[in-house]
Amino acid sequence: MRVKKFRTISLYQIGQMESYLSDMAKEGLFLTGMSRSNNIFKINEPADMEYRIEFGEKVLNKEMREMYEMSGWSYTCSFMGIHIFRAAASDTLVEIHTDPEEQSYTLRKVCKTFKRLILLEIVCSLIVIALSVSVTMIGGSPVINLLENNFIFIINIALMIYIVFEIAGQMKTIIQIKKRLQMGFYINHHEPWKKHSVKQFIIYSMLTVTIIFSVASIICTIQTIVGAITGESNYALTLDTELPIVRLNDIEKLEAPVMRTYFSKERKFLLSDVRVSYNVFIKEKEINEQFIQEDMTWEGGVYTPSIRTNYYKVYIPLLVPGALSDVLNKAENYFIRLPDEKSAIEKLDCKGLDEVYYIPSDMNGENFFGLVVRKGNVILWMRYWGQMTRTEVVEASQALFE
Amino acid sequence: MPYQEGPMTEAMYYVLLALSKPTHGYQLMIDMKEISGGRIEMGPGTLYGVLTRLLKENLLRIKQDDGRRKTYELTEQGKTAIKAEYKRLKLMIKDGTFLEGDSI
Repeated sequence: MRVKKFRTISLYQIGQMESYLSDMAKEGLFLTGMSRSNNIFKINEPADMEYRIEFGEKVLNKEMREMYEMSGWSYTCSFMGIHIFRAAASDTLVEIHTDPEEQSYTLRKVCKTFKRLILLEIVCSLIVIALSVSVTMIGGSPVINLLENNFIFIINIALMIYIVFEIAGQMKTIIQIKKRLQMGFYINHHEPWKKHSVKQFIIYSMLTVTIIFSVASIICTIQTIVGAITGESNYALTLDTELPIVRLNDIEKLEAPVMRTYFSKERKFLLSDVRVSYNVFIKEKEINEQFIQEDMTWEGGVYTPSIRTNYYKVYIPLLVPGALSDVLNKAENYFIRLPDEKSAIEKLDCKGLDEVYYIPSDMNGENFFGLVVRKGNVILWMRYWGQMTRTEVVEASQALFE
Repeated sequence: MPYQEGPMTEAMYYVLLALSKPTHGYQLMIDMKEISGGRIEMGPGTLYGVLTRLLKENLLRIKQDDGRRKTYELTEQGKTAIKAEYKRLKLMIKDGTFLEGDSI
């Protein structure tokens, strides 16, 4: 029977790994193979075995194997140029390495590889970090971007930093072993190893978080694809569609509102629609609603009021202020503004709502404006165009959250 | 570090010494034990490492490779190197002969 065990001791911690394998054999677990993250054992009668880790070419040299086997060391397995040999513990057993200085030469190649690898990894990490940070900062809304991407950028950065530290740690270990060998000290083949360590706990925690966030991202991607195919993520709005937002007629209060769903009969471009984004930590919707009141005229034409609403429900309370700040930033930049112009955001005090901000447009501020409303963890960003004023929109918002 | 006629490691010295006549890897281990009067029992990893390094540094060459076993022999450079090292060691012994008395 075979048993897979997650490798908690690095192969570069030579003494600890050899000691660990010997202890496993004493419990009846005999190493038969290795994968990137696991050691594979075969269960058998417990035995007193010695294990040795050898660094060499990717494929074990035939002559090397023969010489080792003639000295009582049988080949066990290899993994990326690391070869494991074992022998039954005995007083007459000849050690594989009888000269520490000579053994240090066997680590030269692996030390060089580590030095190259760490440089490459640092460069890659810097690129990933720069890309992740710039993508997160797009539109000046880092919190919303992080929530929309299920924190995958932070996970990327954390993973890259972890990989650099892990490689640096392994490199330090192997360089220290090489230095000690050069000084004439033998490797301690029975170096104590720890079953559980803080480092191990951190690795497990990081892996768990990474898996959770990755699975969340995959689910969201699948939902987005399915939503696009089935039409559940982007669909035409009707007067009866139930949505947790301020509807246009809550503001207009028309007796017979006529929704303008498509741009024209010929051009089936949606003017009133709902777009849903699938995320784990934020519920997000964008709703466009437009009426066309042929019987009413306004500003020299048919009255076509509209409201565009972005709905955000943030599931992490700690991030609500950050998300609100991002939405305000988006809201302010939505209208054309001169670079040196002062912020036009006006905070209003409205009963029943936690926070209300009014953002006048660069055009007719009274009839075309933005309004950001927060109640608990729900944020609404509305852009209204019509004959009503902010008073009606605020009142409709108060009614919504009553 | 490539060999630059500096002091050799003990393993390197005994491998070159045992290769005064061409031989193969495992036999070398036996020969070395014999030459050193049982004092040197070289491990296979050390021997394999030394052989690989000496081949790279051109102090040895493969005389015969029948696919199963390789026979090694000294190159001219190897012969010069072992002789130079022997001389160096002899001088070292000479420098320390006073230790045989009760001078310290």
